[in-house]
Amino acid sequence: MSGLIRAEFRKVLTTKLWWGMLLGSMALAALGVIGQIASNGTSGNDTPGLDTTQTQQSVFSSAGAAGIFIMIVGIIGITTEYRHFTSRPTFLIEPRRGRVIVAKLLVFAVVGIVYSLVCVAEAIAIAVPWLSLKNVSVGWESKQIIAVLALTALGVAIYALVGVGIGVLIHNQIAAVIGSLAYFLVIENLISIIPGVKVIHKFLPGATANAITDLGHYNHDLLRWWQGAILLIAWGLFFAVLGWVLTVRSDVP
Amino acid sequence: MRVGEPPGRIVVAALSKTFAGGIRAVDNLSFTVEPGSVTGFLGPNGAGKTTTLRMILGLVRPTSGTATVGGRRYVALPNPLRHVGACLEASSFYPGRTARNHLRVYCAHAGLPGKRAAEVLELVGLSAAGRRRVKGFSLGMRQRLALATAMLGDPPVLIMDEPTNGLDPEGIRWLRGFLRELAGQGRTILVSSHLLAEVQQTVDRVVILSAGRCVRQGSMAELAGGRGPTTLVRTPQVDALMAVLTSRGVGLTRVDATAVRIDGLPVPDIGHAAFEAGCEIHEMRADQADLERVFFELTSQPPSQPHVGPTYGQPPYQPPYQPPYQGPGQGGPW
Repeated sequence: MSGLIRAEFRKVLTTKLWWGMLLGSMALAALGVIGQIASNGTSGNDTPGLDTTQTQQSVFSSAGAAGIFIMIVGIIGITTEYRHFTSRPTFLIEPRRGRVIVAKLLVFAVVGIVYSLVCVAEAIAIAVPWLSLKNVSVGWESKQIIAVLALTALGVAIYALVGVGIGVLIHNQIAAVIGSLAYFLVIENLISIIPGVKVIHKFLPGATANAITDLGHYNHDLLRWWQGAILLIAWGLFFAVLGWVLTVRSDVP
Repeated sequence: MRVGEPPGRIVVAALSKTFAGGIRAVDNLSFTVEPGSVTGFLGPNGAGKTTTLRMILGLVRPTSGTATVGGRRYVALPNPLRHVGACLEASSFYPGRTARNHLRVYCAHAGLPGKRAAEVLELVGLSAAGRRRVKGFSLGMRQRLALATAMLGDPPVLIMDEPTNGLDPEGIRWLRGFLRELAGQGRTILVSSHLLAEVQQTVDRVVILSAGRCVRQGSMAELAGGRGPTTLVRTPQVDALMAVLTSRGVGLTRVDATAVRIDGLPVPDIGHAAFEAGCEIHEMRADQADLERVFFELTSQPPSQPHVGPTYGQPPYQPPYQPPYQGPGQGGPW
């Protein structure tokens, strides 16, 4: 298994994808931090002031933007094997295909943690000097900020599991990437506003991911942070197991 | 193969595969491949060669029957890379990864040192291209890289699916020498092709497949000998010669207006018959390089039906072989 995990790390590190997506994550995280600080207090923006714990948590959890990117990396990590038929040598060397899936889940979770740590560091590097310029002190002493940073990293790592799970389920790379982006960016938001079905929204993957960083449970439409974490892991594993049952065991193209 | 290792024998027993949609790609196929030999796995496109190889390799699940390597199913082999090397179609590469990194991924996977990547690149003559991305590789280079991947674990068994595809004549010659060398080391080599001529000089034995069934297996000498000697005779009086031979029940085929191919009759007997019939002989030679015709006849018809070909007066193929015909340049160890 250790050889398998080292091989999966090598697969990630010997292509350009991982740092391209990392740059994307960093750009989106920066946009989130800058946008929230710059827009705070402007007319029409009724979020609480920058000195509140709630807003500071929200600013720092912008690092969670890496989540959607690591999800795509996870999807591609699986589907590229089928797209370029490297599934053949992979499954020739490890005929117990389930172990390959488990190794990918672990490796992409670690890559996700790396992504999130980079983005968290970036969020701190942008927000802390800027807030001090505005004479706003960051509430480190409440430990709430530290906890949110840790939970942001956790959420991003779980997103990697979801990505691998989706890739296991849908081998067509284009369909899996486009489909999951459409779901997380559009479809789930639609579900959240349609009367009647919006009660299920908080149990869906995107909402559970948002719940993880909502430590103070400020948004009552979301689950508690730990409920969100458990449910999002369950979603990732559900996709992976479903994919395992439906497709991975069958003949390799 | 190193001394003391189990024999790398491949045994396919009553193997069948029916795909969704009811297509029976492989039908009750049985054959054995012995260590120390190169076995050609032959048949026209769609005969079921690739499906069979994938079942041996555990990529495709058989509908029934078994395939084992060294007595075990592929999926039960511990660290299969060290036991079986496989070259499927030469397209299993991530285009943006370099050849060296491609190999290093699988080195890590199988617990081999990273320097093994450089060794196998050297082995297939790709050292200079090791740090280039695979997307810039020609088909011939991809074939070599696939072979390098298969050789990573220094396996006693090598299974290759149409490895000559995309190779230039120089590459094909190189591959022949390479496979002979490996077989000489005692390894088991199973190589598929849809062209007999392409592997004729490389293989010791053949397994011939048609419509998912084995229509023939044996040594190259047996393949030729199954028909007995074949002689090509060129004469202006073709009709007279054919009449006298047909009246004796000899199998023959008209080649063109002045030539006839005669099966199973020794050359002196043909000469005598021609003399009696008053035929003027312009050419008479053993037509032993005619395996392609045997191959074509075996694979161009359903194996269960009696032979009905473009020949006349020729008996259908009888499964019990005649004594192998040991013509020069065929059979024997190479």
